[in-house]
Amino acid sequence: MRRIAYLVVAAIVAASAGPAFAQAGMKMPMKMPMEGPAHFAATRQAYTKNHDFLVKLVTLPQPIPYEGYFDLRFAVYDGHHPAKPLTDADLTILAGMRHGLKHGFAHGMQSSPKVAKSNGEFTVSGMYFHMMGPWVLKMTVSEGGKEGVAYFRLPCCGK
Amino acid sequence: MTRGYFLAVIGGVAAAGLTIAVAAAAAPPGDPGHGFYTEDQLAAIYRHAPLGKLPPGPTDGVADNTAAATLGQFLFFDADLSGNGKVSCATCHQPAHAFTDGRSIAKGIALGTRHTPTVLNAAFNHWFFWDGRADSLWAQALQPLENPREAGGDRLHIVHLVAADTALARAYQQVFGPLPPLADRARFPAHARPDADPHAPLAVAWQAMAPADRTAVDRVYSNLGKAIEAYERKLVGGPAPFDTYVEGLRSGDAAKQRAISDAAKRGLRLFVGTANCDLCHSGPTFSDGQFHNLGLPLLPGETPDTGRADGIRLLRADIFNAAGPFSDDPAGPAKQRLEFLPAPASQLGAFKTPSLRNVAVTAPYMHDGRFATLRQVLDFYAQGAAASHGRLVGTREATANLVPHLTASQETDLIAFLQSLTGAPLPPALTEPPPRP
Repeated sequence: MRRIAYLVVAAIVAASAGPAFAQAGMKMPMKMPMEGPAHFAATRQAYTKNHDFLVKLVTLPQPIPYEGYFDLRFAVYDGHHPAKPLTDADLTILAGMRHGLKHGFAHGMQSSPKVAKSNGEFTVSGMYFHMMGPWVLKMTVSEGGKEGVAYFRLPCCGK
Repeated sequence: MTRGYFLAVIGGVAAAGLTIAVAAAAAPPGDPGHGFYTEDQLAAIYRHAPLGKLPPGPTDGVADNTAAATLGQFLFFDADLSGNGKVSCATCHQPAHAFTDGRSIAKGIALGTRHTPTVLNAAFNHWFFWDGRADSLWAQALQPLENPREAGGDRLHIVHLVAADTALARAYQQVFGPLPPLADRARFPAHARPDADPHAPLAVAWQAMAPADRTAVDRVYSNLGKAIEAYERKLVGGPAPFDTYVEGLRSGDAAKQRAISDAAKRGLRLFVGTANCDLCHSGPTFSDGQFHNLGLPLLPGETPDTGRADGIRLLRADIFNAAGPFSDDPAGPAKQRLEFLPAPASQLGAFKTPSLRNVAVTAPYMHDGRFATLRQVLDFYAQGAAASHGRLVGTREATANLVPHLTASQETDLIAFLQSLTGAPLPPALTEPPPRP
């Protein structure tokens, strides 16, 4: 009996809330992905899909600036021996918002970041997020004839 | 559980549900506002107002110099700078039309290729023109003066004009110091300018000049642009009803919360909420200042416009860019923006996000002025990717697909909100041709 009562209650609330949102001009349920300030933790490390490489995000500004340039620092390790740094690896980076990912980041980040290698780490300068919401970094690592791609999610950009 | 208890629960919850429904439908959006918006929506609203302080213009050493602004205002309205003596900056940037011209495509000496953007609040931008081919207001001001479709003038004519006019020369020298000696017409011809066509007579005359003389002319010419920037930095729109409303939201002032209509409040909630408008129209200017390809299909007879792709190439080649020899801060923040410019190919068909402040009084819309009304603009977005049928330049950006279908009443609410972004008018002293300096 108690379960039936709960179900009836839920149905009534749902039936009441729907028209309420509709009359107030709101769409319910939302049919489009909602973008806006992202509230999640940044990816701090990721394996490339083939597991050949492990990429670690060493430094990340807190918070990530909105409409301002910032730097990121990465380190690359052997994916099969994660304690072994790969200082000779090459790293390229593409960035865009999550919703642009399937389009190859066409019109993603409006900046061409530069990657500099120093002391076995990679400093990526010229990162620039111009939209609030979840951003995706596509990191391509190559070393010793092998190549792999790892993805990082970064939140933009506080309130 | 007894039957009585069960019925009481149902009755109580039904009543509560009805209350929620009535409250949500009738809730006066400004009452006091905070219950009407989600926390994220409120945060987004606060990011849009107030317009805030003017950013510095470090590449222009006289950006905030009053005498430079006075000279710049005179130049802005001076048709003598043009090739035919009939076109000034104010021909397209008409104060009576919120510094636009009301036309789909700009018309100076000849019909142009794009719609005239407003110069109201332009000093808040990093990039100028629809394609971002200038990175300062002063560098922007120089290009239309020599564009054959716009003012059609040339820099030698313009610097001679200033030097030969006692009052103008005095006003110039008060701000920038001595003019170079320009009287020798063998060194400084009456008319000359760089041109994409090296065989054009004006380009031939320009190339015939000694490099040092060209630099001297470029220095004066760039200074005139800096004076125009000093004037345009004063063209900052007054507070809009939306700004007053946001003040009311922050302070709890009920009177200020009535500054915009209930329809505008519903439109605002859509704007920062499910309609996703503020992904691109973000911040106090309602623009991210960046470039997007909306997938606007070519109109019949319309020439394909590469937008930002060529804008980047032109910007890099412009000697008046922020890192160039005529910049007053060549190593400053604007240089960083030049260093990290995206690859031109990635920007094919992308145009700058326009500010939405004063948008209700700056019709028509889009880079080619194809939409006469705001409702047409919203209809375009609300169609989603289906609106991009036909021949496109580049690729429609996925961001444009985040705008959902909008009902007619939602569009009406959004338009009411956009109308609340019209700022208070500027004082006549800034909107009329000034007396000769």
